[in-house]
Amino acid sequence: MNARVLRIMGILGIVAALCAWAILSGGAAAVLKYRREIVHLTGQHIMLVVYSGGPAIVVGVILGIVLTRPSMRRVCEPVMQVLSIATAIPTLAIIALAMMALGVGRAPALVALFLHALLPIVRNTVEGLRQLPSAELESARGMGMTPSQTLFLVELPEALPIIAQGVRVALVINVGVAPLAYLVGGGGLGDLIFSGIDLFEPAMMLAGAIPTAALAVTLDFVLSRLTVLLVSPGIRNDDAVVTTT
Amino acid sequence: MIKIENLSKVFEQDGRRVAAVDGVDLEVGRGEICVLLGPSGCGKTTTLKIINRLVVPSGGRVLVDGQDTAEFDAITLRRKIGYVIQQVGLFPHMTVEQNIGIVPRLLGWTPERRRARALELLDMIGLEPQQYVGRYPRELSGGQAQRIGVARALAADPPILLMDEPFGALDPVSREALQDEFLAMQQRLGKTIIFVSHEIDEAVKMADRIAIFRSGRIVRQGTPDAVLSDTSDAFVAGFIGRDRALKRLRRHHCREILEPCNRAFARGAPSVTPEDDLRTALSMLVEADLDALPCYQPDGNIAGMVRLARIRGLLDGGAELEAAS
Repeated sequence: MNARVLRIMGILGIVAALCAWAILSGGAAAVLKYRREIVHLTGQHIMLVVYSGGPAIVVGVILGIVLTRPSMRRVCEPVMQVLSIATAIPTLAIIALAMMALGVGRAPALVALFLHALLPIVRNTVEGLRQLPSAELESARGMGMTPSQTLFLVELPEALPIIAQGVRVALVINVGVAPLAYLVGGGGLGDLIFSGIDLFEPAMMLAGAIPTAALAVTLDFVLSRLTVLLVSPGIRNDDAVVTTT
Repeated sequence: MIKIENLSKVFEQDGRRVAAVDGVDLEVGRGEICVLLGPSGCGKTTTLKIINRLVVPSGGRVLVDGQDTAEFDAITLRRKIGYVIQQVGLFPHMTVEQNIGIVPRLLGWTPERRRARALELLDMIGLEPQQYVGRYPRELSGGQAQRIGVARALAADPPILLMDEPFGALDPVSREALQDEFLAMQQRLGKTIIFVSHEIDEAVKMADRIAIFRSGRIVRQGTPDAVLSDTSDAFVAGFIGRDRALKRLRRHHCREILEPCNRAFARGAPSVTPEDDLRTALSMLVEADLDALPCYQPDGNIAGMVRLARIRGLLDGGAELEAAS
């Protein structure tokens, strides 16, 4: 607990120092010139992440569940490999391909971000469900649980920490990839970043980059807190539960 | 209570047909502990899993109270049969209370009733209810976890209990303790129990009836005494070991062969109580090189004496008596 407090204090100290430096050097004023754009585009950015990540969570978790059912054992590996290969395609290329199909605007960006988020979620769902000890599945069955009761009472609650980790990774990376949406007119903070680069306007670029980074860090923090709240203390991976004998 | 008729299970393995269970007949009376005993891969666990239909048999049938289990819905059947496995299989994300309350929950009991039942069972298995009810499995020792495993199987008060090497993963000391506790509990509960074991000592201690398995068949079955005194089959004799006399004596107690004390024993000489088993008595006789031991009641009054000759006589005569029954 103490180490964590120290770490947070340290981070806050660095942030405070950077802010002080930014304000004193006048850089902050230059960036804050864009505050109306920042607010507006941050909203768009969040929507890009939510509209691509939300469906990715739903589809990814369902796909992970389906792939781990005993009847799908043969299909699981090939599907995972196809997904891995698909993820190796650069996001930029997916955006370009999506644009050819869907034209410019938000739609191709959302499709690319959705596909980008899908793999970590599916992979972690599959891994989380797979690593369940067979003894637990056997006792669940032996006590008379139906397959869906086994899934909802045992499998998902136990795989939750690993699934949640996949969701967290997927969404946080999505925040960082979403600026590419600018290239197909999808909006978001990428507008400020890329325009800033094109116009040799560092303040404009920072006005996009800093909120993007802040958004990623905040989302990561919120999701990790949420995971702690949702995961049972019996399997939570922290020091909150004191093991006694 | 449970009747198994000509049961068989054939698995396909690399295109070959392997009979895991091959024509097993077995009958277990109400309130009996029947131990299925044998080396690994002999079909005892498969037989157990056919009873609660975790495995569907290829042939034969299982009757519970005269009714074919194939006619029951497998889910309903399993909720009526307690199931304990060696790896315990407690759910780590659930508290002890939730783990014990699973079958009651599946049966739709109210949370209050489930909690009351969990507390009652914790008390019965000798764990301080208030202290353990909120714990998670990772906060339990192996012995405690297996006690909870047994409590969980008993939660909905099923008449039948299936136990697959339930104490196999424990150290010898906790295993002995759990076996004793379990037998004491069974005295009161009178469940019909089918218990899989690969250990002859455990079988002799727990069983009212032993069935020795080999390659999917039962090669011998009967009371522990009858099985232990049977030397006709080389496999059975080898499995039991050459110290079978000692194993049999463990099942008998001094009270069974007490004789009136007709001689004086030195004060402080080795002595037994009526509840000591005869293996202990024999060990003391051999160690002290005596032919008789005094037997005292726990309150210190003399109960009689145990003579070496009577122990020998019991080993000779008892076998036929038991085998005939």
